[in-house]
Amino acid sequence: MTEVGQRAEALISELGISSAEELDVEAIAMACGVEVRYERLNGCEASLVGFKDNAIATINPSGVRGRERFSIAHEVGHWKLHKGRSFQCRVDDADANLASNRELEKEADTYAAHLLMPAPIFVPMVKAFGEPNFQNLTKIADELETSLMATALRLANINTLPVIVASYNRAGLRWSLAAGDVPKRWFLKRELDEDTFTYDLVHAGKECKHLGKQPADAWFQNDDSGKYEVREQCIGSHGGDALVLLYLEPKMMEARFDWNVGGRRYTDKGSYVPKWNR
Amino acid sequence: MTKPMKSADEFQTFLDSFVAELIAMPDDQILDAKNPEEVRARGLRLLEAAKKEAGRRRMAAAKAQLQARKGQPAAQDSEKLDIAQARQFLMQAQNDPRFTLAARKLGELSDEEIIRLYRQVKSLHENGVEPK
Repeated sequence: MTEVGQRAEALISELGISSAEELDVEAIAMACGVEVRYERLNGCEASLVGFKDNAIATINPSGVRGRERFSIAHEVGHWKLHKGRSFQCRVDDADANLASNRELEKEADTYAAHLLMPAPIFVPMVKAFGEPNFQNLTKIADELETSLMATALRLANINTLPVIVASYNRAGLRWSLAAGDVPKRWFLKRELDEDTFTYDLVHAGKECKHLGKQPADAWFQNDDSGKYEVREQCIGSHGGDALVLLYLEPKMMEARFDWNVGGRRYTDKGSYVPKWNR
Repeated sequence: MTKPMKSADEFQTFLDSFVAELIAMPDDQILDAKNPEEVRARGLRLLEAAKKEAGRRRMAAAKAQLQARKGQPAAQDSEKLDIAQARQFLMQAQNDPRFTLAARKLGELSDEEIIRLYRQVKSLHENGVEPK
């Protein structure tokens, strides 16, 4: 677990929280000296002002409780991690921050994910479903009052299953998050393969209700991926994007390093050519 | 405005006295013919339980504070503001480590948003430990 995640989960433990019902994020914020207010904001989901040990987090009312709770937890993250600093907090949408490169925002997102879905509460919920699909994840999200997106990302983050969560649109891959133990050798295709269910969803709006088997070469660039299978499910996300859940079969977790993927280059004699020397 | 939690101080006092008591206690009294590991484990369990209890109280105090706040009408600030001064103040606050500011770029904020941020900072000042 990252240090940021540990800090969030330490706070949960310190506050004696041990069940989903006790995860009252406004009370957690208040216990940290942050008062939460709801006001219409332009162009951002939340703001935070603090003076010494007290702060006010202003949350844009969205009507979606999961989103509001994530914004509150995100601002608590800024408060606990970045107190005494001033910075731009443009977007509090985990999806948008994954596609961007804003370090402080990503840290606050990580903190929020651990605060709202701490491992001692979240992992047993996941285990109860084995390999959860989007319907199962929706149940978990409902119980924890989190968004499906944040819940799916946390699923990859807890690293208990061979899973990759990704977002694609018509233009291709937006971002992906693999469980920590998924070998780095697996390179997702940049563009959607016509054989995937996700292609049908993005291009024809065809729903994908269950996890379905697919040859892994529909998803990965690796030359040997045809030897393997994945299970895929996708769901429509905002703006016509698709959120994808991919479970790798156990053999894929043991596959050896792939020398020929990801634009790697070699000399005539087989020596690796580093990126900076191409 | 949010005030520092009293229960946190109470817990610190409890911890200090717990540790001081343990240090002052003679070995034979601590051990009382028992296994030192057992005594240590029991002490840690007690400490852990006390920590959890203090955390629960902190949460309960926070919930009570939230509940009390819900019944209060929102404070209306009728003071007329000079927007340029408010912007200037927030610009300075950005470079002052006593302040934390996470918002859109100040130059991009509307007057209305500047007023909101300024009033929030002001209310933190007024209710803070050290009013400016």
